[in-house]
Parts: sequence; C-alpha cells; structure tokens
Amino acid sequence: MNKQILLFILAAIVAMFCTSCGDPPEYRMSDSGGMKIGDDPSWLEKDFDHSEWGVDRNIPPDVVFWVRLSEYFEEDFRDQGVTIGIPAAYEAYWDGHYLGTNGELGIEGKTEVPGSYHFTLQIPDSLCKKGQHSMALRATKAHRKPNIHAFLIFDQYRNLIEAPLQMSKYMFMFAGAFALASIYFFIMFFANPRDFSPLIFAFICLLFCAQLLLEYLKLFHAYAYPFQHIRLHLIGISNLLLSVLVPLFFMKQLATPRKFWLLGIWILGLLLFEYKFYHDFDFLARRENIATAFFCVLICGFAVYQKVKGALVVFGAWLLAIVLGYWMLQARFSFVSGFDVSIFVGFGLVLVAMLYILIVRTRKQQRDYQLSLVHSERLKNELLRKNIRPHFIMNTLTSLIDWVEESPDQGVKLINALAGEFEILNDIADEKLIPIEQEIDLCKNHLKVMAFRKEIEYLWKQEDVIEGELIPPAVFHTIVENGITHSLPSEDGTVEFRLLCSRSSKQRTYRLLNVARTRGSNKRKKVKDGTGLKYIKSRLQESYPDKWTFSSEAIEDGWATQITIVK
Amino acid sequence: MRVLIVEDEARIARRLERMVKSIMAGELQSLELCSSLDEAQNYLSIKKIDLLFLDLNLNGEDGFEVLESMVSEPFHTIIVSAYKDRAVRAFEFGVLDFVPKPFDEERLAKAISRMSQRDVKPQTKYLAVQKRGRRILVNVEDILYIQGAGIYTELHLRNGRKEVHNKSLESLNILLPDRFERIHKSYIADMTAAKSILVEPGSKYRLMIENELSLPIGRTRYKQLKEKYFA
Repeated sequence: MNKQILLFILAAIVAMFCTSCGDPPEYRMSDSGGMKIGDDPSWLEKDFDHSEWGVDRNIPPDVVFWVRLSEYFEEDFRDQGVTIGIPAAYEAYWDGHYLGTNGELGIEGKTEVPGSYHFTLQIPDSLCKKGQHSMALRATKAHRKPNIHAFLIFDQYRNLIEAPLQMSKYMFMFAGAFALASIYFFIMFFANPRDFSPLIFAFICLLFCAQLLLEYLKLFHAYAYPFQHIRLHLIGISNLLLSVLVPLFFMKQLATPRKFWLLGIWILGLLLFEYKFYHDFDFLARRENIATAFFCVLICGFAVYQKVKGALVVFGAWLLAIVLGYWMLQARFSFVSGFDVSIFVGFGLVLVAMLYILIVRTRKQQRDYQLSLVHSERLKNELLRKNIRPHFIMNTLTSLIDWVEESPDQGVKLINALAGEFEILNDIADEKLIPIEQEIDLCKNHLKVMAFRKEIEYLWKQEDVIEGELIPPAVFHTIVENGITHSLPSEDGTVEFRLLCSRSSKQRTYRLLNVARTRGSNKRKKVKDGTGLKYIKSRLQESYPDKWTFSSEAIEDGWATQITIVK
Repeated sequence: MRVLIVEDEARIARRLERMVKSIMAGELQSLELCSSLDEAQNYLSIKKIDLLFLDLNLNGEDGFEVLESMVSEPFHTIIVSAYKDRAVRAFEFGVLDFVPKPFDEERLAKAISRMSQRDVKPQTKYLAVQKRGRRILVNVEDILYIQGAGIYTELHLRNGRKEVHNKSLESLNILLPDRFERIHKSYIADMTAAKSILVEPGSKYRLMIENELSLPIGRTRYKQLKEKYFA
C-alpha cells in the first residue's frame, strides 16, 4: 500500500515537471551585450556598436547607466513579448523605440522607485522581423545589492505572462501539502510534547514550504528588485536549517549511534562552509544540498546495515531522489534552474519517505502503549490470583479444616489471618504503588497464615522503615512466599524475615533477608526466574522504568534479596 | 501395610497421618512422614513400602517428574493435591487415586480401599518402566499380555519386545483398563487381542491371541471368560 502511494507521488512529481519543460530563447548581458555608466541619447539606437562595453559591477547609486543586448531573430514573429530581468529602475528601448518604464529612475534629484525584478513588455509586430535587433535600457540602481546582471527572455507575450503562473500552480499545490503536513505535526507535537520527532518534522515541512514559495516567488509576484537579495538570503537560511534538521531527523528516527557528536561535527562543517562561500548563494546551496544528501544516505545506509525498521524504505527513497535529481539536472527549465527543480523533486520524495517512517514509528508507539495497558492489567490480574491459586487456597483450607476439627479457637485465628490477607490484597489490587507499611502488613498476615499451615514460627523484623514510602504492591509478599517455600527452619525452629531499608540522595535500597536453612540451594537457583520473580521485575519496570536493580543470592545464613530504586 | 506420606505442609501431613492410622488400624505396619522429595527418596532407598501418599507441589517444585519415577516402583501411589486439574493426567500415569484437597477421612478411606478392589474404570494410559537407569513410558495400547515373574512382571508388547515392570501382577491388575483380564494366576491379557479358546486334553485351556500366540487359562477362570467373551 505504502509503496503504491510512493510510486504515485513520484509519477505525479515527474509528470508535473515534464509539462513545464519549455525552452524559449534567453539572452544574457554577459553573452551578447554590455553596460556603460553615463547617459548618451545615441546609445538607444538600434545599430549602435556596444562591442567595447563590458560589465561593471560597481555602479554608484546616483548615476545613470545603460545596458545594451543584441539579439538575432531567425524568422518574423507576431505577438512577441520580452521579459526583462535586471535589478534596476529603467526605460526600455527596442530597436531605438521606447517600449516602457520599470519603476522610476533616480535622476534630476528624484528618489529612485525600484523596478520589479521581472518586467514583461509586448513588442510591436513591425519590430519583430527576421534579422538583428537590440534592446537598450537606460537605468539607475540606487540599491547596491543584488549585483548587476541582465537577461532577456523572448516568447509569445501571452506565454510570458501565463507560463510562470502555470508552473507556479504546481508549486502552490506542493507547498500547500507541506504546509498542511507541518500544521498537522505541530499539533501532534503539542498533543504529546515529550516526543520531539513530530516537531522536527513539522519544522522541516514548514521550511520546505517556505523555501518552495520563496524560490518560485519570482514566477507569480512582481517584487521590486532589492527584495531579490533578501529573498536569496532567506532561501540560504532556510537551506542551512534544512541541512541540519533533515540529518537530525534521520539520526533520531533510525537510532544512529553517537548522533550528537556526528551532528556537532556536521554543523561545524556547515558553518565553516557558509563562512567561506556566503557570497555565492547558488554555489553554497548546491554544495550544501549535495553534501546533506550524501550524509543522509550514509545515515540511512548504516541503519539498513543495522536492520533498523523502515530504514530500507528511506534508503531507497534517498537513492531514488539522487538519481531523479541528477536526471532532472540535465533538463532545462525557463525562469528556474534545473538544479532548483531537481532539489525540490528529490527532496519532496525524501519528505514522503520521512513521513513514512514517522508513521511506522507512531504505529509502533501506539501498539506499545496498548501493550503496556494490557501488561498492567495482567499484573493486576496476577496479584489478585495470588491468593486464589489452588496451591494456596486448598492447602490453607485443608489446614483450616484440621484446625477447626482439632482446636476451633486456633481455627478462628487462622480464619482471621486469612481474612486480613485477603482484605489487604483487595485494597491494593488496583494500585501501582502502595505505602510500604501496607505491604509489610500483607507480609505479616501471610506469615500468620503460613505459621498455621506449616507449624513453623515465622519471625518478621524490620529496620529503618519510613511510613508512607511507596513501593509496588505484593513485591515483598512474593519474596516472602518464595522464602517460605524454600526454607527449612533454623535449629531453634524459626524462619526469620528481616527487612532492611536504606536510602541516600540518589537511591533507596530494600534488602530482605531470609534467615533459615535453605532447601537444596541449587534447586532454588533454578527457579530463580520463575513467575514470582518475573512478577517482581515487571512491577518494578512498570513504576520505575530502567531505574531499578534486583538481585537474589544465597548468603551464609539463608537468602538475601535486594531491590534498589534509583531516583 | 507400610505407608509413606510425602507432604511439605506440616498440618496436612499430620492430618493424613492421623486418618491413615484410623483407617488402616491393625493392618498398618509402619508409617513415615517426609517433607521433601530428597528425604522421601532417601527413605525409599532403604525401606520398602506398599503405599505412597504424594503431594504434587512440593516446596515449589512440580511433582510430575517425580510422579513418573514413583509409578514405576512396586508400591501404589495416591496423589493428594490441590491441583484438581492434574487428576486426569495423574490417572493416565497409573496412580491408584487422586485425592483433591481439602479432603476428609471418608474420601481417604475410599482411595485406600482401591488397593484391594476396583470400583471405577482405571484410566491408566502409560506404564513407567525403569530400563538401564532410565525411565521409559510404555503405552498401555502397545501391551499384548503381561506375565507375572515373582515380584516383577514382564510386559509383552505387540511389537514382540519385552519390558520388565517393578509392580506385581496384582498391582497392575488394579491399575489397567477394563479390556485387560486376569486369565491365569500368572497372566493378564488384552482381551481385544483374544481370538478363541482352545480346549486341550486334561481340562487344559489356552487363549489364542494375536501373533499366533497362546496363553494358559486358569481352570477357575475358564467359565467366566467364556461367558464374558465367547458366548
């Protein structure tokens, strides 16, 4: 099912980009033109020779300069238009004829109104005949950034207006999906703030959505040229954050060993890289993206090697994303670079894979939670069953009959002790933790009952018990039961249980000594992990997950059981 | 009668002791109490007994493994246990009776009475046999006939093999299901394998059974067998 969805999304992504693969002619200043500071009306002429002009990146903010580009049309065109891309305010002249003005030039004491970064104009059919043409732009550039550059895109006027919007509609859908995913996972995080994975994923989706919108902003929003620089900064920041969050997400999900060291080194490397190449947005973004992809492939590959659940799917998605990205790199797109498209396609695919492992994990968490509920119920059940197990109840009843027949007074005492034990068990059955004094009462009552059955004197001693201290129910009781089963009375005919409590700032310890002769100590070792001890360990794990130790060993005069609970 | 009681609950052991004494009265030759299996096995290695009372859950150990070794011995075993659900399986292993706790004297007397007469169909499915220090279980279905050999018995199986059991023919006769019939003072036969009775000169009778075998029939038992199986 998941694989089908994945394939479908992949096909949709490929299809959507293939529909927008057009190839209108594009002219760049660096190829077929030049610029010059100054203001000369003859520079707008169609046949002016600008072959001596170059590209001067340092334009003072208060000067007029001209940009010229020459073009050659292979045929006559109709309804032709041109999209001009130059960060400046300018008047445009086509073959010496005025076409329009973008913004307002900062001349004659006026403040410049910046032109929009992309500016589309229609060219009269009479000026679109086969042959040589020229575009001359009289411009001012009050804002230093972005650096001067210029390009022209020719196509049918209608196409120039519509095609970018056509392309951006797919991007909106894409971005919308991630915006929704982001909101969903933010809410999920707030519902369960202990788990950070949904939060990381929500941020990744949000950043990815923001990056998509920013990257394709130029297609649907005519922003003033100074914003171009801010836009590139924002994309750079978003890109850097993604380069940290995506590997972090995978390391967390795939339980990569020493992830914080790895992440630290990774962030350090990224920052060094940023410091060195910050002036070159495209170069930086591309290298960062490629490095992140390979880092993540390594993380996922290692997880596959360690047989982590879901690792194979994400590893496959990464490989596919890289292949697809590389393939798309070869394709050409108008308005956007092939690299931008490949990054979004590839990363979109990876995000789907991330969603997949997040869902796999969420499902596992839910199952674990259900299991823990069942587990708690089972422990409760086990506690209740303790005293209705045939071995206990039938032996007790047999002894009771005997006492009643022989000595009714003693029989009544046994009934009272038994009632006491049942009453306490009934009280604690629903609890996960009970006061220690209640547990001690339970043990004492049990010893009374057993004294009637076994006709052995059982002694209970305790040291440093603090009333009100909480412990899991029937834990000492289980140890006492085991002790009774496996002890022979000492020479004086008694079996003694001694509870020693101690506590420090870090932990508390309960040591329950069973002073008696041990019946075949080897046999006792064999039953060491019987149901009784499993019950104790399950109870400890339930209330103090991984913060307890349990030991049980033969000592000189009997048996010692020790429970340590770490705070 | 020599009796051993193996029970780790002192009160219950004493109850058993009291009741056994009262039931057997003059018949009782000796009575011993043991509170653990080790103790019981030590006792059995030096003393012979006729009847064992055994608790199936002794000091937290499952007594079934012990049961297997006990039922291969010459004496009869009566289980006294709180685990009523184990009764069926205990009977399959050839115990004389299963007395659930809590019990009274009447129930115990009934169990003891089974030593001399069977009042219900025995459900024994296996006979435990000691063989070269190991114990093997012989399925009762596989037994063709049993021959008494002094205090032992020889189990003759359908596949021609022979196993020696420590119990006497009398003891086994009490434990085996109805289809086994005492046909001679030295023979018990599975009557489902019986084909015909051969009358030989001199009022000698033989039971023809599977595998071309024939077994002697006691003169006193001939008439009863003929009426029951060949009428």
